[in-house]
Amino acid sequence: MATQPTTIQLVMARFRLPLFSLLTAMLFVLAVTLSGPAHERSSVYINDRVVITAPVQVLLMAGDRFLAANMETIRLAATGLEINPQTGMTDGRYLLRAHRTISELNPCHEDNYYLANALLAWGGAENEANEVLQRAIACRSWDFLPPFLYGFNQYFFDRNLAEAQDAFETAALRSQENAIQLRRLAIMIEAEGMDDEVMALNYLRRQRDDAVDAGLRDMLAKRVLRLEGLIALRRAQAEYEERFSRPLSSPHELLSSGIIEDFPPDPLGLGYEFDNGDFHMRQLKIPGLEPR
Amino acid sequence: MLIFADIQLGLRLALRARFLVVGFWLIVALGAIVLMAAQFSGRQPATIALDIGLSAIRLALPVVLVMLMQELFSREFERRYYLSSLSYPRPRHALLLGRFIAAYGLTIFLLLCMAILLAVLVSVIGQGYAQATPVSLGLPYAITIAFISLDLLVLAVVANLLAIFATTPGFVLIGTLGFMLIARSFSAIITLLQRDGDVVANPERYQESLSLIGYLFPDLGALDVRMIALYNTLNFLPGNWPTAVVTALLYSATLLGVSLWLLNRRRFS
Repeated sequence: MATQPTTIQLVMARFRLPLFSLLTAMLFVLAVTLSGPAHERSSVYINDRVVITAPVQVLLMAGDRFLAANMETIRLAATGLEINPQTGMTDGRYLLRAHRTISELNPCHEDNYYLANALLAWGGAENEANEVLQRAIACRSWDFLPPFLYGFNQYFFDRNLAEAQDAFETAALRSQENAIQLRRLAIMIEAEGMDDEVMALNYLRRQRDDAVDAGLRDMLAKRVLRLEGLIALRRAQAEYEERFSRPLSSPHELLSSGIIEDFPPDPLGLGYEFDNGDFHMRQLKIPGLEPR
Repeated sequence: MLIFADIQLGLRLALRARFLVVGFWLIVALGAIVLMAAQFSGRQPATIALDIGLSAIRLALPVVLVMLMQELFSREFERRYYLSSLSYPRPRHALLLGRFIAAYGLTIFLLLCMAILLAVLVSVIGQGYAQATPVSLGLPYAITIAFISLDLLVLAVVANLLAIFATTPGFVLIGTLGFMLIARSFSAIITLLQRDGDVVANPERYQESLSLIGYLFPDLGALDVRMIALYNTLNFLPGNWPTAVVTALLYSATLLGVSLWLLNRRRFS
């Protein structure tokens, strides 16, 4: 006659699988606990990061190039900006490839061109940033910011005035509220690039008279006045040095000698400065923005 | 009309297969994905939310479609329910068309629910940060959703065809998703390969064989017109959109005819 199974045998028979899982889980925890403290992160030399090329990414994301662009941008924004512990710098070469790939997948992506300009252009790779910006200019036909950033890069890093002015004009056409300032900027970078201030003054006067827009004309009139003031100061200095046969040591000598009655006012409020024996227009000094 | 009875039956079968539960959890997942994705963008959270929401919809709904086709057709043949459903004197095309309309209709209903939720979420996110280029949730969004539904029609027809002549129900999933992958990606891949010359060793030969695909598969990538909604510019609607729409419709009609013909001549033992 078969004996009745005991309670324990019944329980073990019924809950075989969960009990087995629980037992192996406990063994696992025990093994992990007993294996000692985790050893230090082994120093694997991270050579470079992988950026999958654009056609393959489209395939991987089931044909959705927008998803590929978004995922790559999120990856870049979330992990590309941290300092690599091996090199002590951010992974610049990875950023170059990543930005270019996203630009191929979705050239209209706003985060991409914004970050590319900020990271690449100011990180030493302005050509790659300009590539991304040019694709954005072509794609985003309503947005004034890509041509503005591109024009600024051309002026600031490459001193390419013609290209910069073209870009600022494109930006001015796309933006109602910023059009005047952009056109003024385009004119001023040309005026400041001229060595001879009389030539620059004639150029500015011509631009002021040709300006159709009243706001632009006002702005240029102010700058004409400022330049006229500088020319007046330099002429006064030349007259002083000719009359007294010694170099001018301080601007107040012009007043005390009676050559000019008062310093010319600067309608922009920035004023003039006198150093190294020459009058200059005082510029706003923004740290980090000195021309290279 | 007999087809209405089949539609009703198809709806009941789908509901019995817990379609509403699946749909509900998909909508919840969509909401979570959209809200989380918007956090990753500095300048355009609403645009990224809309973009990723549309991608999620375009990935999730074909799976739902395949599930419904498996439920309504593969199960029929697998469990031999045709012994009762087809034994009465009724036209077979009513069975196929009725159930197809039920499955596609339910998927479109789910698409509309997801689209409404996405629009609500994106407008809420858009009120948080004032973007320079706001998204458009009006006519461009409606056009985008309409094109997605056309894309789903092509996939529904392919899933239907596979469900009718495939012997294993698993093949419906693989076949439809594989078709979706190729049809959606080949035009983008060809365009990208033309710009990026050093991906494969001999790009000209590779592109030749790829363009033959254009005769076999409809260009579902051309039906992805979300840029008009993302950037509020109807200019992004491709110039040949009537061609793309008509191609997709003709392709669907052809494959539907093929599956009707296959069902009609099938001998059930």
